[in-house]
Amino acid sequence: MLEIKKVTVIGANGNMGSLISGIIASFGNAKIYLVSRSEESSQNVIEKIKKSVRSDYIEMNLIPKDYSNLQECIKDSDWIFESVIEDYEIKADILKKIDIYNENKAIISTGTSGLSIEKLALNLNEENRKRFLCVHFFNPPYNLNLCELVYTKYTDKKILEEMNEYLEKVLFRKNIIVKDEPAFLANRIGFKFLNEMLILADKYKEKGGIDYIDYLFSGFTGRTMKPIETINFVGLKVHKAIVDNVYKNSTDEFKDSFILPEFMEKIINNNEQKSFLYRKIEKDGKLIKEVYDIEKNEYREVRKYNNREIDTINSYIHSGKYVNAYKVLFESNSEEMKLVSEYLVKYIYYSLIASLKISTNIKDCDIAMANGFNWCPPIALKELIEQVTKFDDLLDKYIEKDIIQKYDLHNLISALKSEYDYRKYIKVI
Amino acid sequence: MNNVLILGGSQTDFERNWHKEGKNYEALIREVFEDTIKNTKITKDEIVNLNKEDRIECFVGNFIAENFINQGHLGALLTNVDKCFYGVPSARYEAACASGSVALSAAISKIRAGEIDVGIVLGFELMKTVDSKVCGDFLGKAAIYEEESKNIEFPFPKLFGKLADETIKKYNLDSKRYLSNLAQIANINYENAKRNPNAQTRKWYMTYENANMRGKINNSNVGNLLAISDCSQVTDGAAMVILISEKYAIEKYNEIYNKLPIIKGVGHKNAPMRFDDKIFESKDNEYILPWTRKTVLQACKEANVLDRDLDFFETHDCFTSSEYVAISAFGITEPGKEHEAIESGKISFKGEKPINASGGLIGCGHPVGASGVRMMLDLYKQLTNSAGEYQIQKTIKNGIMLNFGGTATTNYAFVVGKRD
Repeated sequence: MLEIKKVTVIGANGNMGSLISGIIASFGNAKIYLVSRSEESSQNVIEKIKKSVRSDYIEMNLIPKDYSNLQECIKDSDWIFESVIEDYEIKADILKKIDIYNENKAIISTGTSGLSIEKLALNLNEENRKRFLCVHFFNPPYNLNLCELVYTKYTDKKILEEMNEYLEKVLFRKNIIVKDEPAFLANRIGFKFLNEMLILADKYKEKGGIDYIDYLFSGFTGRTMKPIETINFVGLKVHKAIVDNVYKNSTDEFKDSFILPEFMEKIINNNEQKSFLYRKIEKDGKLIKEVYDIEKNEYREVRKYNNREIDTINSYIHSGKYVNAYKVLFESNSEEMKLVSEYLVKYIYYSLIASLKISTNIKDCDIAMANGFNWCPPIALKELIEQVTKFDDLLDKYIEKDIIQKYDLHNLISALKSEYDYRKYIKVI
Repeated sequence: MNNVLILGGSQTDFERNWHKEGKNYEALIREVFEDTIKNTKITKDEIVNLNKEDRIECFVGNFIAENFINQGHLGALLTNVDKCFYGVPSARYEAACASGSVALSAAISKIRAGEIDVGIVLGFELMKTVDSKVCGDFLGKAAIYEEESKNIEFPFPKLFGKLADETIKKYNLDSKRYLSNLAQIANINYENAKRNPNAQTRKWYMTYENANMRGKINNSNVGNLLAISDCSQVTDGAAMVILISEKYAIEKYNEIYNKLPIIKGVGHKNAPMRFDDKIFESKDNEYILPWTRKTVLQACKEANVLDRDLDFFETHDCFTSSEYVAISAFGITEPGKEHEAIESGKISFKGEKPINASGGLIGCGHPVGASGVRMMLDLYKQLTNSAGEYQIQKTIKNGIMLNFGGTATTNYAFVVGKRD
């Protein structure tokens, strides 16, 4: 087993940098050099780190530093984790410094959620490239234990295997090994679905737009947080960065699903600071939840939508009758239920195709979505749907023939069995 | 007396928060029942046919659903889950956190007496419907509420904190060493829970050092000496086991009946309910909880097994201080010398006398009405080599579970083992 006793986390005062420091300092019991712009900002993040893993003890593993200490920290480390802002030039600059200081032959990793690892690796010398890989945690890592390990053509396979083992056995991560593809696997699947929800919100703006689509795709479709609320939580700029990256750099036939709707560009560009799709404001002493109305280009109070079929579905799920609930969904002829059915089928088949392309195991899409997004894993969801209708028929109904043939979807899907239980993911929210 | 065998059962994933999932008791019970059917191969038709011959009953263990989910008449709830329960006699059994055990005990008695051949025992509790302070107040009703719980924040951690104080005093223990022992207990339970796919804390961080660092923000003291890491947490969950008579096992499950674990002995004793009365009563006894010890001995006597021959244990570690005293109650050490078994690793997963391979209440979780049934299920799993990653890696023949209600007021012990 890899022995990792000291780790330098660069960008440790950032959200992911701090939370990942907490995971390594606690489960890994490693000393962490927290490197950020000033020692004070590194010091200030310690309380947050302790809280994130509910431990005071780990304070002794947290050593605040700044960039002036970078060389000595790197020299003394077994693992260097770069977690600075998601900007190629800034990351490249940091990697060049690591390249010079890494005398101890430490493992070098980036926490990027989508930049090309292959390209980043070019900032390192040949020796260091062998020890370079991406270790992609999910936010918040204490609750979402997915870890995507992304390798390059230069990565030493032994180091990849050792890190895989360390992350699984010591840091209690659920790992998948994926290729250096834009957004990797989990975000590729997740953000395609999320962006499609934005596209639908735009299309159905006269019916309510954002909160209408969130209502249609709420917990019963297999998630804890409504899809566009999830984008709001992640941050609009982060969402844009991920979908733009996939659109620009992927070659797959589904790339149009990653085109950011115009209204999103408008909100992001109109706000220099943080922009929102949902916000909470105080009105007459009461906290009101507002949503961005695409049609009117203004915020309004979130509406209460009423759909009898969704009420029935939720009532079934409330008492654990999942099959009855999905019968209502898939046997309905209403436009709304057909829309939901269609996008659930699309979620499943795209997950499988993405797994085929990006991962080493087709069933990794289940691991990715369960542990990275807390969404109903696609193969598990397929098993629920199969109890109410033939999935093959749904594929024929919603998916273009050439896609079905190209990926041999009927054969691909029929043999798959999930290791996950859909029941804990289908909710009423 | 008819032998009582365990056909099998299931538990829900104790990590889940059913209230946040928007689901009710019916969803919880439906799930544990569906999984029990899947695991045991008992069929709904079989339940209907057994009822036609008056050979089956259901036993529901729950502490306080009236408070948590505004629901009473719990014995009848199964009829709302599946029509196969129409007509099947069923009642609710309550003894605070030992509710699951009192339901088990009732089923065992009826099967032994030949009144029925099959007992479906369900334990459940949905606790996450309220915040932790309100939950603490509800649970306070397991003590003498007016005197020991009313207007007291988190009364039970405080009562088991008193048990810690009294243990130190009675055996003249070094408090630092004692607290270190409690931290070791917490750590063992968390470590064990990591192997259990249904454990509440399987993804949580805990170490001995962390558990032994009390009194700070992230591990504050909640009951005198006891801190958060010494406590089991608020849990939602259900467990179900199916108990059958030997006669029925031969009749219906002939191919496997030789392999089914047998409930060999039952112990049940009630101690004085008021905590101070317990301590006063035991002042001249070598055991701080003598009725707990007597419960274990009663179960062992009926099982014709010496306590020293017990191979593994599931105990009621609602708090680390309760597991500490259980060590001597099980006969693993003499009273006052529990630290020897903790420090030597004897009670660890790979030790000679492993306690709570499941993670126990601290690691696996404590949906109070379900805990007794969950323990019985874990004895079954260990004895049928079906515990997966938390299967004890040594030859085992007999195990025991110890389930408390209140401050070890209701004491239940069951010795379960393989056929001689």
